[in-house]
Parts: sequence; structure tokens; C-alpha cells
Amino acid sequence: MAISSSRLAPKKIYFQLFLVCMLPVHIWAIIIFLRRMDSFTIFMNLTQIISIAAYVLVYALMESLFLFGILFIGSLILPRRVSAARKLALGTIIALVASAAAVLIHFHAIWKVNWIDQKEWTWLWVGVGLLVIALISFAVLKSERLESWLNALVERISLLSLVYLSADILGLMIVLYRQLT
Amino acid sequence: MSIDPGKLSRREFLKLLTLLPLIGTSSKIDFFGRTFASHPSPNQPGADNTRPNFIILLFDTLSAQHLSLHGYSRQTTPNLARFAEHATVFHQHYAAGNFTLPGTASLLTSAYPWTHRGLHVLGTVKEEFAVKNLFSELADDYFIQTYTHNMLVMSLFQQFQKNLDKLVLPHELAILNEPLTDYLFPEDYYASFWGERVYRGSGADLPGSLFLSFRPLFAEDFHPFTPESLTEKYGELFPRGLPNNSLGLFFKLEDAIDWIQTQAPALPQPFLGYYHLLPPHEPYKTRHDFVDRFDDEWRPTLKPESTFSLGMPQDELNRRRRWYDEYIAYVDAEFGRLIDNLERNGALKNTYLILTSDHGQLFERGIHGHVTSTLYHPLLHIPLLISGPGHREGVDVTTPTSCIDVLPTVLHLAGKPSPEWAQGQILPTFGGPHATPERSLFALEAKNNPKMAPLQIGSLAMIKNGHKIVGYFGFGSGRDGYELYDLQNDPEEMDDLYQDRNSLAQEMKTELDTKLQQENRDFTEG
Repeated sequence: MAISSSRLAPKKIYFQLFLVCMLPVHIWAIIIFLRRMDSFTIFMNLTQIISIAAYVLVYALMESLFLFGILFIGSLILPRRVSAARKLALGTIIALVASAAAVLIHFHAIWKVNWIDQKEWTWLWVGVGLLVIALISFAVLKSERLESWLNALVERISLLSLVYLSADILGLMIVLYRQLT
Repeated sequence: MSIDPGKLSRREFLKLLTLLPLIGTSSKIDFFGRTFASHPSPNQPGADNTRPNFIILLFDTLSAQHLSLHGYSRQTTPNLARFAEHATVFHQHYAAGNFTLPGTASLLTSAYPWTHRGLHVLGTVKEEFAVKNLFSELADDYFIQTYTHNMLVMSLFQQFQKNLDKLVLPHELAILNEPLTDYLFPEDYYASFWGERVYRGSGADLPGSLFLSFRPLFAEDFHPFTPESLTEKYGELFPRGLPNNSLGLFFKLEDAIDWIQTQAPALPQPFLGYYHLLPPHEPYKTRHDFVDRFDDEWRPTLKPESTFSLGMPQDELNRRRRWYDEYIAYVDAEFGRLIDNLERNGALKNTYLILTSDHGQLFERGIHGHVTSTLYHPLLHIPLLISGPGHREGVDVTTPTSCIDVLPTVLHLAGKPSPEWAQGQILPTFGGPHATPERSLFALEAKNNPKMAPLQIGSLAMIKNGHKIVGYFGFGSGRDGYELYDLQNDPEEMDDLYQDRNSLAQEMKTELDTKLQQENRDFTEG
């Protein structure tokens, strides 16, 4: 326990990392939800649409926790000499690059790229994502300037993600309310 | 333990919580909190054996045009024919819509789609029908149990659930059900189903999940319960794959049939069991003993291309038709097994067994399926067979009837009057008037029309005097217009008579247009 607790960063760092994880997950979920809104308005009332949005937000919250959980575990296996601020910077870049790779994988369905099948395409972007993450992680470990730039970015992202967190809590309350009634 | 309710401590409150399961068993609250009415079992004192039971068995997407019982070339339904020997067979029975929601909602509410407004593939009916339906009318006296493989029907069940004694969830009779809704949020099915659907993605729709929705891509590699592994496990039994609803529910029809036959003798009396089973809805996953059964030389009549054609080549349509027919043969065999077992265990002594469907299926004019704006005969012509206590001989009814007639008929047989909101009438031979061909029957397709707006885009069919007129409106020039067919002399709808028979065409067109205007006026004023 002593070993793992010594590897733990301050709670504020983890909370900020969680907020970073929320950003891409929520932006994507909300965009996809809004894409479906047109068809929903034809046959659903406002209550139904809000309820569906609540479920989408709750799922997005769970996914953010999932992503955060992976990064949290990853942060525990980093050497002790890696500072908390650097862990946050690394976590941020991993979350953002992985999200970008995920978006590209999803867009394959829309772009209809025929020269490579879906599974190979997926592995391609997973590979590219991992490579980019490795390169930037290396750069973060070497460059204090990049680290401080990323931490400044985290400050901005955190502020925006607090809005999503508030929406998630509201969504969770709506979902719970609907179970009770 | 003495507890003063006025001074309940936290510890005492927690102790009381442990007694909750006892309350659950004593007041018949099931796992999901739905309350059971206290109906006695068949042999218990107080069981009402004077009222008949009802089993409504609905096979989704079962077109009467594909049943050998109704003259189809392929021998798809020998067991239905056997059942028909002591049942009433309605040879001209029609759905009120061409896909699940309008068809099923009209059956259960005795209202046409323009009234109940279940117009959309994944829609719901108007709230007022939560207490205007078959279940609400029987709820006081009957134990009501429902089951479906079809998630779209679950939306209706949720709307009607206050009158259901037992709503059996889809996963309970499934081999695998991927959606979480069934397990996590069964009480809020509609919103949670949609929320999950948005999040997981479906078909061409991108998933709302960035990371977790990759599972299908990696399914073969990582997921132990993928369709691929199911295919491996059940591959010999189902060489074309396991029956499923295309939304992650994998099942065997045998399991539902086995379950129904055990329920019927055990349910509290009197009961209504409404079982909406998915086969022969696509994907067509027939059992091994029916695979290639109809790999024959027979080819259907080649029909003119529709203006709504999806451009599917005729060879592909023929192949899908064959697979569909082979799936029907499997459904028929399972139905035969069910009636044999129900008769053997005496469950039909005081029970009406009603077999029907919600809509048909199309394999012609460049169109496959039922997600179409057309209303051709194979889409609307559905089976209706009813056997009841004491039925010894088959009866054939050839006058046209509609799915909206089922509710008044069931109520009549249950000794209840038809509610004034019911638009159907009691079926002929079951106490209803001798239906005449002059009666106008309707079917509507309006999935592109907003739910709560006058009908401005869609297709409306009217069947009367052996003729059918279809009006297409709101689709734009090239598609808007009318078609008229003589169903008696041209059941394949080969010759559009709209231009030729001017007086009849004008007469039927006027009635169709007037009906549409009247319903739109009623809707606007209402």
C-alpha cells in the first residue's frame, strides 16, 4: 500500500484528468445525439427527447469514468520520479490523441474508404494513435515547455468539462427519477 | 422487536428494510416491481372458468400471400392447414399498416393509424391509448401476460403496462440479448432503449460512444458471446445463423413455443396471453431441416417496377423470397408443435387461440421488405385464424376484415361490450354482423409525417367491393397519384385500372380523399 500511495498524485490532478477525459467523450456523444434530433422531432415529444438525452449523458459519464480508470491505472505504473503535473500532461495527451484516433475510426463508416476493410482500418488508426501517443509522451517527458503548455490547456478544458459534468448530474437525476416513477 | 413509528432510528429502519422481500412475495410484486392482480389459478377456488381464455399468437411479418393455406404455390404451411380444419379462417384479412407499429397498434387499440398515431418505425401511440386498448378493457377480469422478441413492440407494451399483469422481457426467452435496456431499465424501456441505441449506434448511424462502441469491430477477437460464436454453437441447427431481431437479441423460436405451452395451462384463469414472436421477420434464419426446402424451379409472377422501387434485382428478390418461405415453413412447424401440445395438455378446452400477423412482406417491383411507402397486397394481406372451445369444423370467411376487428371480437367473446372508441366491428361468425364487401377497410403508411400533425405525406389504401385503391400523397410529382386494382380478378395486382375504369376510379378516389380530409379535419379540430 505504501508503494501505491506514494505513486498517487493529488486528488485535484485526478479530478482534472477526469475532466479532460470527459471532454472528447461528451463532445462526440452530443454531436451524435444532435445528428439524430431531426428524426426524433418527427415522432417524439420534448419529454421523450430530454429523457433520451439524459440516458446518453449517463452513458457518456460512464465512458468518461472508463477512460479515466485506464489512465488512472496507467499513472500508477509510471516511475515515482514522474511529477504529478507531468502525469497530468501525459494523461491529457493520451486521452486527446486516443479520442482523435477513435473519431477517425468511426468516420470510416461515413467516408466509405474501400481500399481497406473496417477491421484493418481500425487497427491502422489504433497503431497510428499509439505511435503518436508514444512520440508525444516522449516529448512531454523531455520538454518542460510542452508540459506547461499542456497543463495550461487542461485548465481551459476543465472549465468547459465542468459544464458537461453538471449536465451529467442532471441527466443522472432524470434517469433515476424515471426509474422511480 | 418493538418499534415506535414516531421514533424510527436509522438502525431500526435498516432492519425493516430486510423485511421488504417478504412484502414482495405476499403481495405478488415481481422482480421489476410490476404488481400482479390476484387472479386464482385454474383449479383454485374462485377461478372463473365461465369466461374463455385467449391466446393471441402473432407472428411478425407473416404475409398471407405466402401461405399455402391461402393458395401459395409452395407448401409453406401444412400445419396451419391442419389447424384450419377446426378453426375459422378469414381469407381476406388486412393489416392497417405495412410495418410493425401501425399494424400492431391497430390490432391492440381497434383504431386506424391516423387515430392512434403510431405512425413511425420506433414511435409510440397517443397517450390516451394507454387506457384505450385490448389489455385495459380486459384488465378487471383477466390475467394478462405479454411477450415479444420485437423491441419495437416493447414500446407499446410499456405504454400499456399499467394493465399488464406480467410483462415478460425479451431477454427472458433469448439465448443472447446485447442491449442493456432489458436488464437495467425495464421500467423505462422506450427512453432507455433509444438512449442506448444512440450510444451504441445502429446500421449507418454512428455510435455516440467513442471507445466502447468498438466492440462489434473486434467482436470476433475479444467477445466470447458474439454472433460468430453463436453460429459455431448453433451452426448445425441453424446453418444460416441463429434467429435474431437485428438489434442484438438472439433466440430460438422453439424456446418461446415451449414456454407458451407451459404457460397456458398454468396461468390464472381467465387469462389473455399476447405473444408477439418475431419470425418470419427478416433476417431469415430457418432451421436446418427447412434450408433449401424450396430450392425449386418455381418463380413468382414478374411484376411492373414500382415508382418506389429500391432497384433490387429480381434474382435477389427471388432468393430472399425463397429464404423467407423456408423461414415460414419453420414457423409453421413450430406452430404445429404448439397446437399439438396445447391440445394434449387440455389447455385449449376453454381457450380461443388466435393466430395472426401485424403486416406482410414484399419481394417484387424492385422492393424487398416492408420499409416502403407502397401498400401492395403482400404487405397488407395477413392471416387470421381463430379456434375456440367446441370448434370441430373449419369455417371459411371470405368477406374482407381488418385487424381493428380483433379487439371488439375478443371483448364480445369475453362477454364485454365494445367500447365506443373502437373503430372495428365484431368479426363475422363470432356474433358480428355479416360483413359485406361494401365495407371500406383502410391501411395507412405515414412514417415521414410528423406524429402530431395532419397527414400530408404518406400512402392510404382503401379496400372495398373487391377493389383496392391506393393514394400516394406528399411525395412529389412522379410519385404522387393513385393505383386501382381488382383484387378478385387480379389478386397479383398486375394491372393498374386507375386510368381505365374512370367511374369506379373516381368514386373510390373521392371516398379516399374525403376520408383523408375528414381525418385531418378531425385531427386538427380535436
